[in-house]
Amino acid sequence: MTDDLVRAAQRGHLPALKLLYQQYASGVLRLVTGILGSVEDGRDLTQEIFIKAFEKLPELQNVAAFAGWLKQLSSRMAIDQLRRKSDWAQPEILELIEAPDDWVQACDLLTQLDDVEELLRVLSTSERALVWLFAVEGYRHDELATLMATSEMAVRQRYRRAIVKLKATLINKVSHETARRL
Amino acid sequence: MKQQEDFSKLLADKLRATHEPLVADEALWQAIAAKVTTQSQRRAWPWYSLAASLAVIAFWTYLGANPAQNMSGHTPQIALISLDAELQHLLLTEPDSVEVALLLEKRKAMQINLPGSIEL
Repeated sequence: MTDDLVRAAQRGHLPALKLLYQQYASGVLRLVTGILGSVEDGRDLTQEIFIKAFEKLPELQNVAAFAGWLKQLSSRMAIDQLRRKSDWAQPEILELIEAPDDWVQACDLLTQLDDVEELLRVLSTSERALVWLFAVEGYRHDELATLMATSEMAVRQRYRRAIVKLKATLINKVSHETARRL
Repeated sequence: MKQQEDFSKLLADKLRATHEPLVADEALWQAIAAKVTTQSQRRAWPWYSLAASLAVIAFWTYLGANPAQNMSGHTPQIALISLDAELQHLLLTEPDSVEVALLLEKRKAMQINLPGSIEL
């Protein structure tokens, strides 16, 4: 069914293009908004992605691979957009100063957290993109290394660093709030 | 390590839940459709121009190959039709008049320059 739809869309049939949009646009919007961290930017980029996708669609040989192809295109365009931002430059991989094993406490705090987006603001744009693509979208380290034009080892280290940063922020936040109450 | 993975999984679930209500709406589609339509028109325009140019070339080539149908032949044909109408009227009202004789002469002269017309 979707294959026929993609074939019709390849011929530029507008109702078929609309059906493809209705089927996939929300997924694309969530993906790019997650990477970019802004709904407004996400909407603008979703528009650009679909225009680009419909333009390139006649070149797609395997119509059954449409969903994967669209996801790959979306991730790449979102990363390219972040790359153009001034703070994209990959951070130096610093030594992690890790507190004693406090992951259990961090999980408890995260469960209680209302605004998870607020927490993600401590990350750089590249760290946020990495966290979103690895944790939410399920990309593998090697795929992310290709997408971000870096090594697999660097991706692993940066992801771990980002997660530790989130954990430290959560724990610090609670410590500050407790101290303020006392 | 396992606890870190649990933290990542929990984080992913919370992020997914936060972004779940995000839906691509009709307004976004309208913007995309407008752009796609403009692009396809822009792509089709050179082909339309080419097709129109070819049609004009084909028309002139056809006229050149068929002198009986060329543009200069159209004016006498129209004049002949109008003359025939006048002649028909006079033949019914004043069949033996001088005007009829003159019109018949005139028609004969026109007919020589216009092959394919019916000889009276």
